[in-house]
Amino acid sequence: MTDDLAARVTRKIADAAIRPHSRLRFLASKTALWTITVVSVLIGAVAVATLIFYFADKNRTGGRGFDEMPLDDFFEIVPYFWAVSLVFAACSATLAFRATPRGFLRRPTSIFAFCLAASTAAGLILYISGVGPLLNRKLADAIPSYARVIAVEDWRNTSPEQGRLVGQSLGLTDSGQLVLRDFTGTQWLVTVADSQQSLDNPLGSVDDLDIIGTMTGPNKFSAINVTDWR
Amino acid sequence: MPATAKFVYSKGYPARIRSRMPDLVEPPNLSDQQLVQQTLTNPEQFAHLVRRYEIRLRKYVYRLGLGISSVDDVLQETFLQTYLHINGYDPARPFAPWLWRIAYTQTMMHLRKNKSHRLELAGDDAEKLLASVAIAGTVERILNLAEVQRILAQTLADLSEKPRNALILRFLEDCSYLEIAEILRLPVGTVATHIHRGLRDLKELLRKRGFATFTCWTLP
Repeated sequence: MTDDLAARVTRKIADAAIRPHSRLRFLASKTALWTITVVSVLIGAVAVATLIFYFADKNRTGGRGFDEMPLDDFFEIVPYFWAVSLVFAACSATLAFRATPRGFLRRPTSIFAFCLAASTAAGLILYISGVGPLLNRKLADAIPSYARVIAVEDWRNTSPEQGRLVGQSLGLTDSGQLVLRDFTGTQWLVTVADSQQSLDNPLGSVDDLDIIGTMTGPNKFSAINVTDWR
Repeated sequence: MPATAKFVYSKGYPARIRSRMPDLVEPPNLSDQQLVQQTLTNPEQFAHLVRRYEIRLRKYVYRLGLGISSVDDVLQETFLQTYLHINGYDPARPFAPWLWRIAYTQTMMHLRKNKSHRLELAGDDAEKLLASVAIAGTVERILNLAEVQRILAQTLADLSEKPRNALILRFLEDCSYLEIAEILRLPVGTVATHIHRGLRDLKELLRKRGFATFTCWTLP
């Protein structure tokens, strides 16, 4: 018969003065895992909100003229980094959740899908509730240098070659074409017959307008969508 | 998995292992959770937990393919790790699967480190396994029991790791699917898949080794 294992174990514990790891350590590790899970889902939500903003507002943000900037190619692909970061965030949330005490009971694919869905839902809420613009405004109010960086002068939004015309409506011609002076001071004749219009006042009133469409010739533009400017 | 340590371990168990087992010491009439609580204030109480689970764990790590010479070392390390992590145990959960998880991890670490996987089966283990694949019959009346054990152990060892471990826990350790999930840290559905595949492969391998014909030879 061998030496009693229980006696050997307790003797070793006493001789080496072994103490159990503290409860705090396990609590900290559990908290860290849950925090990583939640933060990852939130990062995913920011990624989703940014992607929605980019694609939903592509026409509006597309006129900022990345082509004139250094690293323009880089800036063009920045939104897609958010798509990649969404996947990374979901992976991170999955791994962290799997490591929680009962997380292994769920299938990794189910957890991954759930994290993606949670990020998407939270991202939609962020986008719809307008958290981004609110944050932007608060930051601009608090940090003057930030306000200067994000400020885009009105004239910069006009880029007819890229399909956008922004300026003041001067009225309608007899043939129903809109006369518009863009914010750079150039006068345009805009065909609006087939366009979709979402305006507070009737077309032709002296209002600032934002027109999406195509440039058909020198100082001529064909509108697809006409909305009020800001 | 029953909580009590009361069971007869000698039947069908190899004599060389039986001789290394200590006498069964009846643990105090306390639940595992109560013993864990007492261990936190008095480390001496941990001896009761060791005694309560030593024999069953010894069987388990042996079934995982640990050589007899390594069983004591792995068990000692298992209980030391259990003591170290005792504050991480959730008293709302059963203690045994948590302990089995530590034993499983320690055994796997040992096996991978030493690359000395040597699976052997006791007589009752062989019968349980044969019953699980529906090859019924008192096989020891037909064949030499040692021969049956050898073939079964070899067949079991030929299975891939996860199905083999799932089968051992399900049919030899009598664990529920949830307990197996906790020990192997897998989703319950995955455990069910491993058991299903393990049984299918075990049956197939046994057929290839001529076990299907044994049922015909079974005596009434």
